[in-house]
Amino acid sequence: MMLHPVLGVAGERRLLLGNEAVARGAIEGGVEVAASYPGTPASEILETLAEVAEEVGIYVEWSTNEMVAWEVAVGAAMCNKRSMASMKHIGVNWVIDPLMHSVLHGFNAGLLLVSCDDPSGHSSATEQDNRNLAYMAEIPILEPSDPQEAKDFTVEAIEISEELRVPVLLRLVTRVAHTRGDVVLGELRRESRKPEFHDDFYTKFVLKKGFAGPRVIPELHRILHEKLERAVKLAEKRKLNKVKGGGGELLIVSSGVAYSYVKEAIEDLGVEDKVTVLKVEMVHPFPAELLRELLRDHRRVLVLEEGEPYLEREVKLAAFDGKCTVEVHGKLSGKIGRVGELDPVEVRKAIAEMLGVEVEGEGPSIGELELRELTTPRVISFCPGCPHRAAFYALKKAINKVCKGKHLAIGDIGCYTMGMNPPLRVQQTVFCMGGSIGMACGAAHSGLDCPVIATAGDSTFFHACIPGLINAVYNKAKLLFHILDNEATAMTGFQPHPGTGKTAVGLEARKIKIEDVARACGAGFVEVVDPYDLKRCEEVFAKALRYEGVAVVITRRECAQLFLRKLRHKGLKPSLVVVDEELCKGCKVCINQFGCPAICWDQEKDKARVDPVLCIGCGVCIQVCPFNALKWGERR
Amino acid sequence: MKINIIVAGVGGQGNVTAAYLLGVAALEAGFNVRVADVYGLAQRGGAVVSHVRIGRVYSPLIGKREADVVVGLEPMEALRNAAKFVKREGVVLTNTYPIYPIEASVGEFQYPEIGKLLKAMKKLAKTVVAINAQRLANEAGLPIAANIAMLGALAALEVLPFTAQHMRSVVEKYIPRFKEENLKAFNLGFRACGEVLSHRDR
Repeated sequence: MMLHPVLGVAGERRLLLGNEAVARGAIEGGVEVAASYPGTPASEILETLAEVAEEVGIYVEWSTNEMVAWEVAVGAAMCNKRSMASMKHIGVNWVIDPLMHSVLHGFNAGLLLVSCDDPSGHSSATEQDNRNLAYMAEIPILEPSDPQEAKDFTVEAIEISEELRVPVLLRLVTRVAHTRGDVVLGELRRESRKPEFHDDFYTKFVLKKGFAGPRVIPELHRILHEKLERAVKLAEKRKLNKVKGGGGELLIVSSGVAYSYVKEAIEDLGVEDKVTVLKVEMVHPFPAELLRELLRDHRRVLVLEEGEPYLEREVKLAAFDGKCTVEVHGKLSGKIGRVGELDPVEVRKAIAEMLGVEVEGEGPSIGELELRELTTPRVISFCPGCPHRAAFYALKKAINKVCKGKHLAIGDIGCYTMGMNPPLRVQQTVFCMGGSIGMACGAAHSGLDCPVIATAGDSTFFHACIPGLINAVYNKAKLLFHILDNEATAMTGFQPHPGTGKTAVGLEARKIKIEDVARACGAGFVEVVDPYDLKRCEEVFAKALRYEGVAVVITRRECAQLFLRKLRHKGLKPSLVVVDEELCKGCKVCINQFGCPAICWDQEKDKARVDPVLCIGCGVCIQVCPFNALKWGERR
Repeated sequence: MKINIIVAGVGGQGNVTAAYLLGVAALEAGFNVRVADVYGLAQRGGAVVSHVRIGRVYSPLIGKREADVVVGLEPMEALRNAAKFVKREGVVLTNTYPIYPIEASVGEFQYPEIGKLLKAMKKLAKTVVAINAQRLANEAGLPIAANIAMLGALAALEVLPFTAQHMRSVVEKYIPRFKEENLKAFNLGFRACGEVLSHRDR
């Protein structure tokens, strides 16, 4: 049995994912309680901690949503346990309410919020920069530039939080969270603290002045500002924020992954002696004094950062306050693209341009036209055997039958969102977690002349749909709420949730049934169907579409990937569907309407062909073929 | 020393695993490493690209036209990424077994003949090596091991800063299941690539 990569001994070098490095940092930093809700690119932090929780003796949980995860972390911190909640950037939107409160308290234990931002939205619906949210909450922000710093800064952040008695945000971006790099491990901390309630808010305010009102709130706010002033000094003491190189009149201000691009570009261009770099590690509160010192010898500043022009504004403010006359270039000046993820070449070009250094152009490529002829973007689709494809195929048939194909379907975030893509094209739009059922209620009351459908997944249901469902029932909406239950948080990597009956560390838990919750919320029509049974599914959907009220249909079957994974684990191979070429008429229903990636088109024979590498043998296509040309085959 | 390798394929082909194994091999050979995976929302079916960087490297990403090698687990992905990343004097190593995008089956896109794809790759890079890694994986008795066959082929190119034997031992150490089949796939890939190269040299 190999030792888990994050449990190596101090001094050892390991290839760790940025997120694994954060997990290691949490253990080194003495975190005893960690909570999260899955979301790319953050999931591996808690996944890793869950894998080693028993061995290290810490408590970890997948919470029902990010707000709850943060609340769990706060609750433990007020009981003297160093705590952490990690999530993707969008998850932090949920945390804002309890976060804005928790910054005004003061606990004996460090409390860390980890946000994995996703510039360019590789796996997200926004590319928000959460440094701006932490700025609003007025808490310190640390920004690591690579996996090594992801580990080191996690420890720093926990210690800083504890010393200042304020939560700290650790901001990662996709290229740190999802980059593997060589990481030298530090000492593991294994002592467990005595649980003990303490909150400065309670001792200094509740008992003396009350819990709200003008006698309390501005004073709490003032204390927060005092903590931020101390944070600047603490950053100096801990040698966060570094000045590198020297000479020349150009100053580069950079942080996070952008710094790794800067460092490499300076080496590549061989301009180490022509530029000074301020590497900002604690980006809030900004080291304004340090910058002003550097501005004495530098008249031109280039700011390179991932996300919004956050540092760039800070640089301008600090320069203005110091009456420094400098040129500041970056995203606001148009030197660097204002949206999307940074590119190492763009960074190198910007530095070269500022220094008047020539850079080699790219080599010749083939023409755009030729490339477009030979390649096509791959539209993402449901996996072969995905129960969601079957469910939507049946839903679409029911919609065609009951309302001549006219409908409005509002989606949530999850694998089922791919129902927007061809050939199924079920949902017209998609918003945030839990958004579909709330918006469907509004659409239903708009007087729209067709059935309104909300779609959600099982994990999403527990995350955010319950208030919306109660609202729709209470406010007498007529709609279909389709919950696609694949018994996992599939899109982010099959993490368990309350419907799976398993906890983050694999313990048995009470299985919470979506149908029970839906009935308890007052839905008058609640049905559970197996999506692989197309005929029954279609019947239930048809009934639900005609129902005068909130109809809940749960299509339930284990995620095909999970099924396949378990099968392979047992050393077994899946069943196989084959095409009977005698019977195939080439109607393409299996391709154009059902759209399983395992079924492709044989151009020479003008017939469908099943790719045995991709087919997982779900057999749903056998029900789809109007000519019985798809049938069970044998795997050799 | 700096080596940039792009590993490109389609979700489900083991792209991320191949890049991870390369990274581990480099780390265990004493080099600094960055491995960055770029994948979209899908577990399967979407395009996946991993950037593997070995040596004096800090950035997780490879810049445009700065890859020494593009390893394509699927030929269309090989071309797409070669056009973006490969250096003129670099190598494109591609699997010839296509995975058709839905658009090709639906009829909105005509998947090109493999010869056309290879011809375009040859315009981009000095060396193009094409092997049918899927056939080799099938021959090894494990159809999902095409990625490992491609790692074997990559090891035969002699561009890695460590030996093929070292790469092979990392595959053996870190692949938990179907070890025998995976090693066979690795060996078949190594041999197939060697044969292509010796034909070219003659």
